[in-house]
Amino acid sequence: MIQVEHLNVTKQETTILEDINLTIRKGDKILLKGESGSGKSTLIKSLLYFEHFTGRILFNDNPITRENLCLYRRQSGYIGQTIPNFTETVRDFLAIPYGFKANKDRAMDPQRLRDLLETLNFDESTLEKKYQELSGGEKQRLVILQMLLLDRPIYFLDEVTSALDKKNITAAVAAITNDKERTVLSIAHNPEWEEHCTRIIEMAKGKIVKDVTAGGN
Amino acid sequence: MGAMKISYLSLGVYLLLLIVPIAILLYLKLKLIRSLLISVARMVVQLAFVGVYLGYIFELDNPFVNALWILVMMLVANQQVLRQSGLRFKVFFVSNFPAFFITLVFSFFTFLIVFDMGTFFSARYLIPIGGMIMGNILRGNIVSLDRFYHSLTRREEEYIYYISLGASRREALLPFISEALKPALSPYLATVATMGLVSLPGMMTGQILGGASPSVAIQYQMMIMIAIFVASAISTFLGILFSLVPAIDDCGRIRKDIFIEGAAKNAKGAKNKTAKDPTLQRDGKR
Repeated sequence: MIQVEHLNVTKQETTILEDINLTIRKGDKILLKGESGSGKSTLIKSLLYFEHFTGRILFNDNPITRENLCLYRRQSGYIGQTIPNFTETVRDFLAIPYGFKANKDRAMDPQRLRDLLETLNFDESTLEKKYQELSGGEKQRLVILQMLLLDRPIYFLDEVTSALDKKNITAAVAAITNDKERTVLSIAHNPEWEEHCTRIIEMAKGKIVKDVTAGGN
Repeated sequence: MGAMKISYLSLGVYLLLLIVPIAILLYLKLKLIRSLLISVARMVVQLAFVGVYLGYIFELDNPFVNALWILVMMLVANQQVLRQSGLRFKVFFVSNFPAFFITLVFSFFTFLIVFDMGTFFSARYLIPIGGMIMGNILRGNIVSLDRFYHSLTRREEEYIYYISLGASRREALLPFISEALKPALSPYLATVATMGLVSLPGMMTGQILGGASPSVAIQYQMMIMIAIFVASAISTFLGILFSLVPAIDDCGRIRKDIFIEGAAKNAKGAKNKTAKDPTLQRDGKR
Protein backbone atom coordinates (compact mmCIF):
# COMPACT_ATOMS: atom_id res chain seq x y z
CA MET A 1 0.00 0.00 0.00
CA ILE A 2 2.74 2.47 1.05
CA GLN A 3 6.30 1.79 0.01
CA VAL A 4 9.22 3.78 1.30
CA GLU A 5 12.48 3.53 -0.63
CA HIS A 6 15.83 4.86 0.58
CA LEU A 7 14.32 7.68 2.60
CA ASN A 8 16.83 10.13 4.08
CA VAL A 9 16.13 13.27 6.09
CA THR A 10 18.84 15.73 7.07
CA LYS A 11 18.25 18.83 9.17
CA GLN A 12 20.98 21.42 9.68
CA GLU A 13 23.63 18.92 8.60
CA THR A 14 22.38 16.30 11.08
CA THR A 15 21.05 13.03 9.73
CA ILE A 16 17.58 12.39 11.19
CA LEU A 17 16.55 9.45 9.01
CA GLU A 18 19.01 7.25 7.18
CA ASP A 19 18.12 4.96 4.31
CA ILE A 20 14.67 3.92 5.50
CA ASN A 21 13.08 1.14 3.46
CA LEU A 22 9.64 0.10 4.54
CA THR A 23 6.48 -1.47 3.15
CA ILE A 24 3.20 -0.73 4.89
CA ARG A 25 0.47 -3.13 3.86
CA LYS A 26 -3.25 -2.42 3.88
CA GLY A 27 -4.70 -3.25 7.30
CA ASP A 28 -1.32 -3.19 9.08
CA LYS A 29 -1.51 -2.02 12.66
CA ILE A 30 2.02 -0.85 13.29
CA LEU A 31 3.46 0.27 16.59
CA LEU A 32 6.49 2.50 16.06
CA LYS A 33 8.87 2.36 19.01
CA GLY A 34 12.21 3.87 19.85
CA GLU A 35 13.94 6.32 22.12
CA SER A 36 13.26 10.01 21.89
CA GLY A 37 15.23 11.49 18.98
CA SER A 38 15.34 8.21 17.07
CA GLY A 39 13.40 9.75 14.15
CA LYS A 40 9.89 8.35 14.71
CA SER A 41 7.99 11.63 14.39
CA THR A 42 10.10 12.69 11.42
CA LEU A 43 9.29 9.38 9.71
CA ILE A 44 5.55 9.97 10.15
CA LYS A 45 5.82 13.55 8.87
CA SER A 46 7.88 12.31 5.93
CA LEU A 47 5.21 9.74 5.11
CA LEU A 48 2.76 12.64 4.88
CA TYR A 49 5.19 14.66 2.78
CA PHE A 50 5.71 17.35 5.40
CA GLU A 51 9.47 16.80 5.61
CA HIS A 52 12.09 17.59 3.02
CA PHE A 53 13.65 14.25 2.14
CA THR A 54 15.48 12.30 -0.48
CA GLY A 55 14.20 8.91 -1.59
CA ARG A 56 10.82 7.79 -2.80
CA ILE A 57 7.38 7.11 -1.35
CA LEU A 58 4.88 5.10 -3.38
CA PHE A 59 1.17 4.84 -2.65
CA ASN A 60 -0.60 1.87 -4.28
CA ASP A 61 2.50 1.40 -6.46
CA ASN A 62 2.40 4.98 -7.75
CA PRO A 63 5.06 7.49 -6.77
CA ILE A 64 3.55 10.40 -4.85
CA THR A 65 3.78 13.57 -6.88
CA ARG A 66 2.55 17.14 -6.40
CA GLU A 67 -0.47 16.21 -8.51
CA ASN A 68 -1.67 13.23 -6.45
CA LEU A 69 -0.43 14.44 -3.06
CA CYS A 70 -3.79 15.95 -2.06
CA LEU A 71 -5.59 12.69 -2.83
CA TYR A 72 -3.03 10.72 -0.83
CA ARG A 73 -3.31 13.09 2.12
CA ARG A 74 -7.09 12.81 2.05
CA GLN A 75 -6.75 9.07 2.51
CA SER A 76 -4.70 9.71 5.63
CA GLY A 77 -5.39 11.12 9.05
CA TYR A 78 -2.63 12.56 11.21
CA ILE A 79 -2.67 13.41 14.90
CA GLY A 80 0.46 14.93 16.43
CA GLN A 81 1.59 15.48 19.99
CA THR A 82 0.34 19.07 20.12
CA ILE A 83 -3.30 19.38 21.08
CA PRO A 84 -4.97 22.01 18.88
CA ASN A 85 -6.16 25.26 20.41
CA PHE A 86 -9.78 26.24 19.98
CA THR A 87 -12.05 28.78 21.65
CA GLU A 88 -15.61 27.60 21.01
CA THR A 89 -17.69 24.56 22.06
CA VAL A 90 -16.84 20.89 21.59
CA ARG A 91 -19.61 20.59 18.98
CA ASP A 92 -18.04 23.47 17.01
CA PHE A 93 -14.65 21.84 17.31
CA LEU A 94 -15.96 18.56 15.89
CA ALA A 95 -17.59 20.48 13.02
CA ILE A 96 -14.30 22.09 11.87
CA PRO A 97 -13.48 19.56 9.10
CA TYR A 98 -16.92 19.96 7.53
CA GLY A 99 -16.27 23.68 7.05
CA PHE A 100 -13.32 22.93 4.77
CA LYS A 101 -13.95 23.13 1.04
CA ALA A 102 -12.73 19.56 0.48
CA ASN A 103 -15.37 18.17 2.88
CA LYS A 104 -18.23 20.45 1.79
CA ASP A 105 -20.25 17.53 0.43
CA ARG A 106 -19.86 15.57 3.66
CA ALA A 107 -21.84 15.93 6.85
CA MET A 108 -21.17 14.68 10.34
CA ASP A 109 -22.91 11.32 10.82
CA PRO A 110 -24.98 11.76 14.04
CA GLN A 111 -25.19 8.01 14.69
CA ARG A 112 -21.45 7.58 14.30
CA LEU A 113 -20.91 10.57 16.55
CA ARG A 114 -23.10 9.02 19.26
CA ASP A 115 -21.30 5.68 18.93
CA LEU A 116 -17.87 7.25 19.14
CA LEU A 117 -18.86 9.42 22.11
CA GLU A 118 -19.90 6.27 23.92
CA THR A 119 -16.83 4.26 22.83
CA LEU A 120 -14.48 7.00 23.97
CA ASN A 121 -16.27 7.40 27.32
CA PHE A 122 -17.86 10.79 26.66
CA ASP A 123 -21.20 11.95 27.88
CA GLU A 124 -23.37 13.55 25.19
CA SER A 125 -23.56 16.73 27.28
CA THR A 126 -19.82 17.20 26.58
CA LEU A 127 -20.78 18.51 23.14
CA GLU A 128 -22.09 21.75 24.64
CA LYS A 129 -19.07 22.35 26.86
CA LYS A 130 -16.38 24.87 26.01
CA TYR A 131 -13.43 23.07 24.43
CA GLN A 132 -11.02 25.08 26.55
CA GLU A 133 -12.63 23.83 29.75
CA LEU A 134 -11.80 20.20 28.96
CA SER A 135 -8.80 18.50 30.55
CA GLY A 136 -5.75 17.54 28.48
CA GLY A 137 -6.89 13.91 28.38
CA GLU A 138 -10.41 14.85 27.29
CA LYS A 139 -9.02 17.04 24.51
CA GLN A 140 -6.80 14.20 23.37
CA ARG A 141 -9.78 11.81 23.17
CA LEU A 142 -11.78 14.47 21.38
CA VAL A 143 -9.09 14.90 18.73
CA ILE A 144 -9.13 11.12 18.19
CA LEU A 145 -12.93 11.26 17.93
CA GLN A 146 -12.77 14.09 15.40
CA MET A 147 -10.34 12.13 13.26
CA LEU A 148 -12.30 8.86 13.54
CA LEU A 149 -15.47 10.65 12.44
CA LEU A 150 -13.79 11.26 9.09
CA ASP A 151 -13.15 7.52 8.80
CA ARG A 152 -9.85 7.68 6.92
CA PRO A 153 -8.34 4.42 5.61
CA ILE A 154 -4.87 5.30 6.97
CA TYR A 155 -3.96 6.84 10.31
CA PHE A 156 -0.59 8.24 11.32
CA LEU A 157 -0.59 8.86 15.05
CA ASP A 158 2.11 10.41 17.22
CA GLU A 159 1.66 9.74 20.96
CA VAL A 160 -2.11 10.20 20.79
CA THR A 161 -2.82 8.45 24.09
CA SER A 162 -0.01 9.99 26.14
CA ALA A 163 -2.35 11.97 28.42
CA LEU A 164 -4.95 9.20 28.95
CA ASP A 165 -5.56 6.86 31.88
CA LYS A 166 -5.55 3.08 31.41
CA LYS A 167 -9.30 2.78 30.87
CA ASN A 168 -9.35 5.47 28.20
CA ILE A 169 -6.19 4.20 26.50
CA THR A 170 -7.84 0.78 26.10
CA ALA A 171 -10.99 2.41 24.71
CA ALA A 172 -9.10 4.69 22.31
CA VAL A 173 -6.73 1.97 21.03
CA ALA A 174 -9.68 -0.37 20.44
CA ALA A 175 -11.64 2.35 18.60
CA ILE A 176 -8.66 3.12 16.36
CA THR A 177 -7.62 -0.45 15.59
CA ASN A 178 -10.98 -2.27 15.46
CA ASP A 179 -11.42 -1.86 11.69
CA LYS A 180 -9.55 -4.68 9.90
CA GLU A 181 -9.24 -2.68 6.67
CA ARG A 182 -7.78 0.38 8.34
CA THR A 183 -4.02 0.94 8.29
CA VAL A 184 -2.52 2.42 11.44
CA LEU A 185 1.01 3.57 12.16
CA SER A 186 1.24 4.73 15.75
CA ILE A 187 4.05 6.02 17.93
CA ALA A 188 3.23 5.04 21.51
CA HIS A 189 4.72 3.78 24.72
CA ASN A 190 1.65 2.13 26.22
CA PRO A 191 1.39 -1.68 26.47
CA GLU A 192 -2.22 -1.46 25.23
CA TRP A 193 -0.89 -0.58 21.78
CA GLU A 194 1.39 -3.63 21.75
CA GLU A 195 -1.67 -5.83 22.42
CA HIS A 196 -3.64 -4.41 19.51
CA CYS A 197 -0.88 -3.93 16.94
CA THR A 198 0.04 -6.61 14.42
CA ARG A 199 3.52 -5.34 13.74
CA ILE A 200 6.18 -3.62 15.81
CA ILE A 201 8.88 -1.46 14.24
CA GLU A 202 11.72 -0.23 16.39
CA MET A 203 13.91 2.71 15.47
CA ALA A 204 17.28 3.88 16.74
CA LYS A 205 19.46 6.74 15.52
CA GLY A 206 17.36 7.33 12.43
CA LYS A 207 17.31 3.70 11.29
CA ILE A 208 14.86 0.83 11.53
CA VAL A 209 16.54 -1.72 13.77
CA LYS A 210 13.69 -4.16 14.24
CA ASP A 211 10.54 -4.99 12.24
CA VAL A 212 8.49 -7.79 13.76
CA THR A 213 5.10 -8.98 12.54
CA ALA A 214 2.87 -10.84 14.99
CA GLY A 215 3.02 -14.54 14.23
CA GLY A 216 6.10 -14.04 12.04
CA ASN A 217 9.50 -12.34 12.39
CA MET B 1 6.69 82.13 12.70
CA GLY B 2 9.01 79.08 12.65
CA ALA B 3 10.24 76.74 15.39
CA MET B 4 12.79 78.25 17.77
CA LYS B 5 16.36 77.23 16.94
CA ILE B 6 18.04 74.86 19.38
CA SER B 7 21.79 75.34 19.92
CA TYR B 8 24.12 72.37 19.52
CA LEU B 9 25.36 72.93 23.07
CA SER B 10 21.90 72.69 24.61
CA LEU B 11 21.15 69.62 22.48
CA GLY B 12 24.40 68.06 23.74
CA VAL B 13 23.43 68.82 27.32
CA TYR B 14 20.00 67.29 26.66
CA LEU B 15 21.66 64.05 25.57
CA LEU B 16 23.19 63.85 29.06
CA LEU B 17 19.70 63.04 30.34
CA LEU B 18 20.40 59.50 29.15
CA ILE B 19 22.25 59.07 32.43
CA VAL B 20 18.83 58.48 34.03
CA PRO B 21 17.86 55.37 31.99
CA ILE B 22 21.47 54.15 32.20
CA ALA B 23 21.29 54.39 36.01
CA ILE B 24 18.01 52.45 36.02
CA LEU B 25 19.48 49.78 33.72
CA LEU B 26 22.55 49.50 35.94
CA TYR B 27 20.38 49.19 39.06
CA LEU B 28 18.26 46.45 37.42
CA LYS B 29 21.42 44.79 36.03
CA LEU B 30 19.84 44.80 32.59
CA LYS B 31 22.46 44.29 29.92
CA LEU B 32 21.00 46.91 27.62
CA ILE B 33 23.43 49.77 28.13
CA ARG B 34 25.61 48.84 25.16
CA SER B 35 22.55 48.57 22.89
CA LEU B 36 21.24 51.87 24.23
CA LEU B 37 24.50 53.69 23.54
CA ILE B 38 24.83 52.14 20.08
CA SER B 39 21.22 53.04 19.25
CA VAL B 40 21.62 56.63 20.41
CA ALA B 41 24.91 56.99 18.54
CA ARG B 42 23.26 55.59 15.40
CA MET B 43 20.33 57.96 15.81
CA VAL B 44 22.62 60.99 16.17
CA VAL B 45 24.73 60.06 13.15
CA GLN B 46 21.75 59.08 10.98
CA LEU B 47 19.76 62.20 11.81
CA ALA B 48 22.81 64.41 11.28
CA PHE B 49 23.22 62.91 7.82
CA VAL B 50 19.50 63.17 7.12
CA GLY B 51 19.59 66.82 8.11
CA VAL B 52 22.34 67.46 5.59
CA TYR B 53 21.07 65.47 2.62
CA LEU B 54 17.40 66.31 3.10
CA GLY B 55 18.51 69.91 2.74
CA TYR B 56 20.09 69.01 -0.63
CA ILE B 57 17.15 66.88 -1.74
CA PHE B 58 14.64 69.62 -0.87
CA GLU B 59 16.71 72.14 -2.76
CA LEU B 60 17.11 69.83 -5.76
CA ASP B 61 13.44 68.72 -5.68
CA ASN B 62 13.96 66.30 -8.57
CA PRO B 63 11.28 63.56 -8.95
CA PHE B 64 13.91 60.91 -9.79
CA VAL B 65 16.02 61.76 -6.77
CA ASN B 66 12.88 61.72 -4.60
CA ALA B 67 11.87 58.31 -5.97
CA LEU B 68 15.39 57.00 -5.44
CA TRP B 69 15.33 58.22 -1.86
CA ILE B 70 12.01 56.45 -1.22
CA LEU B 71 13.44 53.29 -2.80
CA VAL B 72 16.44 53.40 -0.46
CA MET B 73 14.05 53.84 2.48
CA MET B 74 12.12 50.76 1.37
CA LEU B 75 15.28 48.66 1.02
CA VAL B 76 16.49 49.62 4.49
CA ALA B 77 13.03 49.05 5.99
CA ASN B 78 12.83 45.61 4.38
CA GLN B 79 16.22 44.63 5.78
CA GLN B 80 15.22 45.89 9.26
CA VAL B 81 11.90 44.02 9.25
CA LEU B 82 13.57 40.73 8.42
CA ARG B 83 16.39 41.21 10.93
CA GLN B 84 14.05 42.23 13.76
CA SER B 85 11.60 39.42 13.12
CA GLY B 86 14.44 36.89 13.09
CA LEU B 87 13.86 35.83 9.50
CA ARG B 88 16.58 34.94 7.05
CA PHE B 89 17.40 37.76 4.68
CA LYS B 90 18.25 35.60 1.68
CA VAL B 91 14.98 33.67 1.93
CA PHE B 92 12.58 36.58 2.34
CA PHE B 93 14.19 39.71 0.89
CA VAL B 94 12.76 39.34 -2.59
CA SER B 95 9.28 38.31 -1.39
CA ASN B 96 8.95 40.98 1.29
CA PHE B 97 10.06 43.93 -0.79
CA PRO B 98 6.93 44.02 -3.02
CA ALA B 99 4.80 44.24 0.13
CA PHE B 100 6.47 47.57 0.96
CA PHE B 101 6.52 48.72 -2.61
CA ILE B 102 2.81 48.08 -3.28
CA THR B 103 1.79 49.56 0.08
CA LEU B 104 3.78 52.73 -0.39
CA VAL B 105 2.79 53.28 -4.02
CA PHE B 106 -0.87 52.73 -3.08
CA SER B 107 -0.57 55.12 -0.12
CA PHE B 108 1.06 57.80 -2.27
CA PHE B 109 -1.75 57.65 -4.78
CA THR B 110 -4.37 57.93 -2.03
CA PHE B 111 -2.79 61.24 -1.04
CA LEU B 112 -3.80 62.60 -4.41
CA ILE B 113 -7.36 62.70 -3.02
CA VAL B 114 -6.29 65.63 -0.87
CA PHE B 115 -3.19 67.06 -2.58
CA ASP B 116 -2.57 67.94 -6.19
CA MET B 117 0.11 65.85 -7.84
CA GLY B 118 2.70 68.62 -8.10
CA THR B 119 2.48 69.42 -4.41
CA PHE B 120 2.51 65.87 -3.08
CA PHE B 121 5.32 64.58 -5.25
CA SER B 122 7.58 67.48 -4.28
CA ALA B 123 10.37 66.48 -1.92
CA ARG B 124 9.00 68.57 0.96
CA TYR B 125 5.79 66.50 1.08
CA LEU B 126 6.73 63.14 -0.39
CA ILE B 127 9.79 62.37 1.72
CA PRO B 128 8.55 63.26 5.22
CA ILE B 129 5.12 61.67 4.65
CA GLY B 130 6.70 58.61 3.02
CA GLY B 131 9.12 58.33 5.92
CA MET B 132 6.36 58.63 8.47
CA ILE B 133 4.30 55.89 6.84
CA MET B 134 7.33 53.66 6.39
CA GLY B 135 8.45 54.13 9.98
CA ASN B 136 5.02 53.24 11.28
CA ILE B 137 4.35 50.20 9.13
CA LEU B 138 7.76 48.82 10.02
CA ARG B 139 6.66 47.86 13.53
CA GLY B 140 3.50 46.14 12.30
CA ASN B 141 5.46 44.11 9.77
CA ILE B 142 8.01 43.03 12.34
CA VAL B 143 5.30 41.91 14.78
CA SER B 144 3.18 40.11 12.18
CA LEU B 145 6.03 38.22 10.50
CA ASP B 146 7.64 37.33 13.82
CA ARG B 147 4.37 36.08 15.29
CA PHE B 148 3.31 34.23 12.16
CA TYR B 149 6.49 32.23 11.58
CA HIS B 150 7.28 31.53 15.22
CA SER B 151 3.71 30.41 15.81
CA LEU B 152 3.60 28.31 12.64
CA THR B 153 6.86 26.49 13.33
CA ARG B 154 6.01 25.89 16.99
CA ARG B 155 2.59 24.60 16.09
CA GLU B 156 3.52 22.84 12.86
CA GLU B 157 1.75 19.69 14.07
CA GLU B 158 -1.49 21.63 14.39
CA TYR B 159 -1.06 22.93 10.85
CA ILE B 160 -0.46 19.38 9.56
CA TYR B 161 -3.41 18.15 11.62
CA TYR B 162 -5.81 20.57 9.94
CA ILE B 163 -4.47 19.73 6.49
CA SER B 164 -5.04 16.07 7.26
CA LEU B 165 -8.61 16.95 8.27
CA GLY B 166 -9.08 18.19 4.72
CA ALA B 167 -8.08 21.85 4.98
CA SER B 168 -6.42 23.41 1.97
CA ARG B 169 -3.11 25.16 2.57
CA ARG B 170 -4.97 28.48 2.70
CA GLU B 171 -7.58 27.16 5.14
CA ALA B 172 -4.92 25.70 7.42
CA LEU B 173 -2.86 28.91 7.40
CA LEU B 174 -5.69 31.42 7.77
CA PRO B 175 -5.98 31.15 11.60
CA PHE B 176 -2.21 31.67 11.89
CA ILE B 177 -2.44 34.75 9.67
CA SER B 178 -5.36 36.19 11.69
CA GLU B 179 -3.48 35.56 14.92
CA ALA B 180 -0.40 37.33 13.57
CA LEU B 181 -2.30 40.35 12.28
CA LYS B 182 -4.18 40.96 15.52
CA PRO B 183 -1.19 41.99 17.68
CA ALA B 184 0.33 43.81 14.71
CA LEU B 185 -2.69 46.05 14.12
CA SER B 186 -4.09 46.45 17.64
CA PRO B 187 -1.50 49.08 18.75
CA TYR B 188 -2.50 51.30 15.81
CA LEU B 189 -6.15 51.07 16.80
CA ALA B 190 -5.25 51.98 20.38
CA THR B 191 -3.22 54.95 19.14
CA VAL B 192 -6.04 56.10 16.86
CA ALA B 193 -8.59 55.77 19.68
CA THR B 194 -6.57 57.85 22.15
CA MET B 195 -5.32 60.42 19.66
CA GLY B 196 -5.57 63.94 21.01
CA LEU B 197 -6.77 62.68 24.37
CA VAL B 198 -3.70 60.83 25.58
CA SER B 199 -1.15 61.73 22.96
CA LEU B 200 -0.40 64.67 20.74
CA PRO B 201 1.33 63.00 17.83
CA GLY B 202 4.68 64.03 16.39
CA MET B 203 3.44 65.39 13.10
CA MET B 204 0.84 67.61 14.73
CA THR B 205 3.28 68.84 17.37
CA GLY B 206 5.87 69.52 14.67
CA GLN B 207 3.45 71.53 12.60
CA ILE B 208 2.24 73.57 15.56
CA LEU B 209 5.85 74.25 16.59
CA GLY B 210 6.55 75.17 12.97
CA GLY B 211 3.84 77.84 13.11
CA ALA B 212 0.85 76.10 11.49
CA SER B 213 -2.57 76.67 12.99
CA PRO B 214 -3.89 73.81 15.17
CA SER B 215 -6.85 73.27 12.80
CA VAL B 216 -4.51 72.67 9.84
CA ALA B 217 -2.29 70.46 12.02
CA ILE B 218 -5.33 68.39 13.01
CA GLN B 219 -6.42 67.92 9.40
CA TYR B 220 -2.96 66.64 8.48
CA GLN B 221 -2.91 64.41 11.53
CA MET B 222 -6.25 62.80 10.71
CA MET B 223 -5.13 62.17 7.17
CA ILE B 224 -1.82 60.68 8.22
CA MET B 225 -3.38 58.43 10.88
CA ILE B 226 -5.79 56.96 8.37
CA ALA B 227 -2.97 56.58 5.85
CA ILE B 228 -0.82 54.81 8.44
CA PHE B 229 -3.58 52.41 9.46
CA VAL B 230 -4.52 51.58 5.86
CA ALA B 231 -0.86 51.13 4.94
CA SER B 232 -0.23 48.95 8.00
CA ALA B 233 -3.18 46.68 7.22
CA ILE B 234 -2.03 46.29 3.60
CA SER B 235 1.66 45.81 4.33
CA THR B 236 1.22 43.31 7.19
CA PHE B 237 -1.24 41.25 5.16
CA LEU B 238 0.81 41.37 1.95
CA GLY B 239 4.01 40.81 3.93
CA ILE B 240 2.75 37.47 5.22
CA LEU B 241 1.07 36.54 1.97
CA PHE B 242 4.15 37.15 -0.19
CA SER B 243 6.44 35.50 2.34
CA LEU B 244 4.55 32.23 1.93
CA VAL B 245 6.01 31.87 -1.58
CA PRO B 246 9.56 31.09 -0.44
CA ALA B 247 8.59 29.71 2.99
CA ILE B 248 6.07 27.00 2.10
CA ASP B 249 6.36 24.83 -0.99
CA ASP B 250 3.63 23.34 -3.21
CA CYS B 251 3.42 20.31 -0.91
CA GLY B 252 2.69 22.56 2.09
CA ARG B 253 6.11 21.89 3.63
CA ILE B 254 7.59 24.68 5.72
CA ARG B 255 11.22 25.45 4.90
CA LYS B 256 13.54 24.58 7.75
CA ASP B 257 15.96 27.45 7.18
CA ILE B 258 13.62 30.42 7.54
CA PHE B 259 15.09 31.74 10.80
CA ILE B 260 18.43 33.32 11.48
CA GLU B 261 20.23 31.07 13.93
CA GLY B 262 19.42 32.63 17.34
CA ALA B 263 15.77 33.11 16.41
CA ALA B 264 15.50 29.46 15.37
CA LYS B 265 16.69 28.35 18.79
CA ASN B 266 14.12 30.59 20.48
CA ALA B 267 11.34 29.18 18.31
CA LYS B 268 12.40 25.61 19.09
CA GLY B 269 12.81 26.27 22.80
CA ALA B 270 9.32 27.68 23.11
CA LYS B 271 7.74 24.76 21.25
CA ASN B 272 6.47 22.95 24.31
CA LYS B 273 5.00 26.04 25.93
CA THR B 274 2.74 26.76 23.01
CA ALA B 275 -0.25 24.63 23.90
CA LYS B 276 -0.66 26.53 27.14
CA ASP B 277 -0.04 29.98 25.70
CA PRO B 278 -3.40 31.77 25.85
CA THR B 279 -2.31 34.35 23.30
CA LEU B 280 -2.03 31.62 20.71
CA GLN B 281 -5.61 30.42 20.93
CA ARG B 282 -7.35 29.43 17.71
CA ASP B 283 -10.42 31.51 17.08
CA GLY B 284 -13.46 29.29 17.00
CA LYS B 285 -15.03 31.06 14.07
CA ARG B 286 -13.27 29.89 10.98
